Amino acid sequence: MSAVQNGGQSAGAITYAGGQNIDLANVEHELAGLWRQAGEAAAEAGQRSVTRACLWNLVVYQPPPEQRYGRPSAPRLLDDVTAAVPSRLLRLELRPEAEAPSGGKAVSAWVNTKCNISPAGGHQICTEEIGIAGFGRKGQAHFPALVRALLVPDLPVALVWLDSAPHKGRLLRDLLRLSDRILVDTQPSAEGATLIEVDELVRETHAQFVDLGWMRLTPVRYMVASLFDAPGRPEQLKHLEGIRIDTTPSGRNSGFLLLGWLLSRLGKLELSAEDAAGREAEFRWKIRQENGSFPIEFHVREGEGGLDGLLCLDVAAGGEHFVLRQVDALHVALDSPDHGGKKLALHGWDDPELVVAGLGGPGLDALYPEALNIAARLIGAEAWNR
Amino acid sequence: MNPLRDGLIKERVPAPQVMVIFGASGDLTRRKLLPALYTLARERQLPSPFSVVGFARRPKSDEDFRGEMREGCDRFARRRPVDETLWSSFAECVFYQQGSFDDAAAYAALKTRMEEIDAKLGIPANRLYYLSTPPSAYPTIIDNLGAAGLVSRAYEPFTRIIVEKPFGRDLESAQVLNRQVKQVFREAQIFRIDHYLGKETVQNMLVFRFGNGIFEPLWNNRYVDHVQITGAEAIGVEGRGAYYEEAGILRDMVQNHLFQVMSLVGMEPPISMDSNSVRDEKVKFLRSLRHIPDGKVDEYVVRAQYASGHVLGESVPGYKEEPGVDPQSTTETYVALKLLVDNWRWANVPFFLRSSKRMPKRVTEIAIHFRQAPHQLFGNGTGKGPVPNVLSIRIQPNEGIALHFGSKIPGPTTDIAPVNMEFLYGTSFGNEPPEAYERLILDAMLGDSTLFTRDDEVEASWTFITRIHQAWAEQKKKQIPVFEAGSWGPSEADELLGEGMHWRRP
Ligand SMILES: NC(=O)c1ccc[n+]([C@@H]2O[C@H](COP(=O)([O-])OP(=O)(O)OC[C@H]3O[C@@H](n4cnc5c(N)ncnc54)[C@H](OP(=O)(O)O)[C@@H]3O)[C@@H](O)[C@H]2O)c1
Repeated sequence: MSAVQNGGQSAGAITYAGGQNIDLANVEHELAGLWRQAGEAAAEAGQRSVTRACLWNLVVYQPPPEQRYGRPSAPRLLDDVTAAVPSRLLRLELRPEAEAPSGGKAVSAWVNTKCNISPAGGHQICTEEIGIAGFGRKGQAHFPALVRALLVPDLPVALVWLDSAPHKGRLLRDLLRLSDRILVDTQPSAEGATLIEVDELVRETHAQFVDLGWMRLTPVRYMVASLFDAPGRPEQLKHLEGIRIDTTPSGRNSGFLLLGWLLSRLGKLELSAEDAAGREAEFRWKIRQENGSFPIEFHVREGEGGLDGLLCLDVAAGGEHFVLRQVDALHVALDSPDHGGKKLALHGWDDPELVVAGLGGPGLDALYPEALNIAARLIGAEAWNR
Repeated sequence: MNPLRDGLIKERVPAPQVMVIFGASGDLTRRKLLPALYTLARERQLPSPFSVVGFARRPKSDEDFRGEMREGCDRFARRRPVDETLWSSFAECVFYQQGSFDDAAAYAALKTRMEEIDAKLGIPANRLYYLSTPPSAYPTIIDNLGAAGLVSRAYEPFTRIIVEKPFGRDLESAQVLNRQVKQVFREAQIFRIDHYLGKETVQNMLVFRFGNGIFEPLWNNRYVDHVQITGAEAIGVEGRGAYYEEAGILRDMVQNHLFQVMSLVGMEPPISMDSNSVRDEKVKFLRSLRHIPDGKVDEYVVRAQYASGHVLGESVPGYKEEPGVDPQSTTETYVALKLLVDNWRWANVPFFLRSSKRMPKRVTEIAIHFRQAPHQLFGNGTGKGPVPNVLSIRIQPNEGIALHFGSKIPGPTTDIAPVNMEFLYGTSFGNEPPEAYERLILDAMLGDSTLFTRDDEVEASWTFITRIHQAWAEQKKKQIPVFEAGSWGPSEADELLGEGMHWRRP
């Protein structure tokens, strides 16, 4: 066992690393040893006690590198998160079968404890991490049972599936059955199909879906709503003439979710996909509203999108345009008869903040399933009637 | 109704508004208000668009004011270091308006300034005024705001006003002030601030009592022996001797903070968590406090002053030696009260309150002392018998809750030792709780007055406190007890408690 000061994580954190390749039946015992070590180290340093606090079981799934989004990985992200939300971290790492240690074991495990000095007075708040590497398919098959065995009783379970798109495989379904909440991020996926899969999962499982991609849109949704606050403006939403949305390539799924949300608020609609061939737009749909029909165009281009990759939303309604436009990474402008190009600061949340918020709130945002479902239908170019 | 707002409301983001701080060159603005606003901005809880205008007498430019506020945020904001990018966009909406409180032209200028800001930022004339001034200025400002047409009693756009403490210095002045402010504002527009109510643990009192099934059944005279509430400070009068001579700790701490805390401990469950239901119950509790019988104030209230002594490693002077203090002063810097509650729940359960300057340390806590088990099986005659069960709720510092109970000492005997089961905010939830002012300013921006004091609450607590002041005035005492600074108070206070009881050492 060894202690590593600031072991590559958030400032002030100390990691107490336990053995590698420990016996899976001995995990709790190994952890108890680490807690003792942390307690003794704190006492030696004249600090106050080490507190074994725990609010969540976080089950973190890490797929093999080739399936990852290529962003900072979830375990690194969680170092910042667990400083604010003390948790037991069960880290499931899927590795190629060829890397399996000799002796034919399909899984191996390690433990460590990361301690942060509490802002509220000298205590060290520690998060315990249990890493489990599964080698190949056989190894993966062990994950659910191990998770069941290692969860802290009576505490909620969040499945953190942030490193890759959630594909509806056996593993995800099994883990979802154990989870109260799942954190996914649909935005970095270049695939619209991800939203279609998540839409199905949301409808099939009891776990609450927290989509970081959706959470990133929160400030934008407020701003878009504000375009229609003035008296008479809501009425114009009943006479839409067209919607155009522009995103960066990495902002496609944000664009779909934003459109999904917007359409979900507009009452009764019918949709049919239109051929976008020969136009600049990547996608085109026709929507029939009570008072007529209007086109939606989806454009994808390079540009400085904020954290969510949105570049512009232009809603034409009642003879006027209501536009939200990204000005630079930190500002958007609202162009409308009431806003006249007003520039607003856009302070997006960084990923650890989103995760903390996602663990903190009630979980599922009631608007999400509906917005997601419409987004999925837009992508599937599935005609619908609502 | 804007259909795009559906489902967004629950995120508690206030409507766009201009906030005006009167007394903006003062200490409170620099130490608490602007740092709270900056932190709210940091946590994306400020409305967008939003602007804050500081109003005070000294001439200064917007830039000067921003610079001073930046310094305040650098030193006092909860989320530090200050984020440069965020600060620059936040500071763009911070302005300073010079003027004297009694100058009508200054309010006309303020009006024009706010209209310009409205037009520039697209704010629909919502206003939040904050009176962070000497209390003597409140009526002047309120009258001038009304006369200048700066107050709309309409619901939209809204006008609200936050009034700092102290709200009156006795029942009569509180009633007069209530009348003055209500001539211009409706009660629902008035936010009388008591920053104790913004503290996380104080709010948790409601969750603890009414959100859990196991505590409320014990919360009555069948199980509770007595309640102790302590509000101790290590500091002295900090150069504000002249102010303190007029105030005294009963006004400065008990009438507002400790009475608010006590009413949350003692109130009945509200029918809902809306602002009036909660406050109805608090008022009911305050009204059920038994008035101290004439001529008996000393049996229920002990007042004292600190003499010189040692606090946290420093030698400190006595109260009467502080600058600005009359050497013959009888102003209390310590007070302890025994309060009885005439209602079904608390009959015969005394509430003991104490508050003081120059105690050994700064601590605010509530301690619920439970009755002993009805039949004692353990430790007879050994002195190692049962330990009273105490539930202590720490409001500051190290916010948390601890349950104190007896446990068997390992070994062949049945000796019992006291042990603690403890929950600490700072360690259970890694992140720091928000500053009281952050929560309260946000609530006022949202129009939620649950954590602010209503007119009848203020008057109910002053009714009780003013009678004590009157009784003291009639006593015409030439001196009051003293205790050594750095101790837990005068021995007279022990006599308030019954046989076999003592003050907790928090
Ligand atoms: N300080 C705290 O920590 C604290 C805590 C709780 C409650 N409070 C309450 O908060 C309020 C403000 O406290 P504070 O310490 O900030 O007060 P302060 O430092 O005394 O500041 C008073 C402010 O009022 C302004 N002012 C006074 N007379 C004026 C006039 N005739 N015209 C225009 N401006 C005038 C001063 O402006 P100039 O300097 O430009 O003259 C200054 O900005 C008080 O009611 C206090 O009881 C304070």
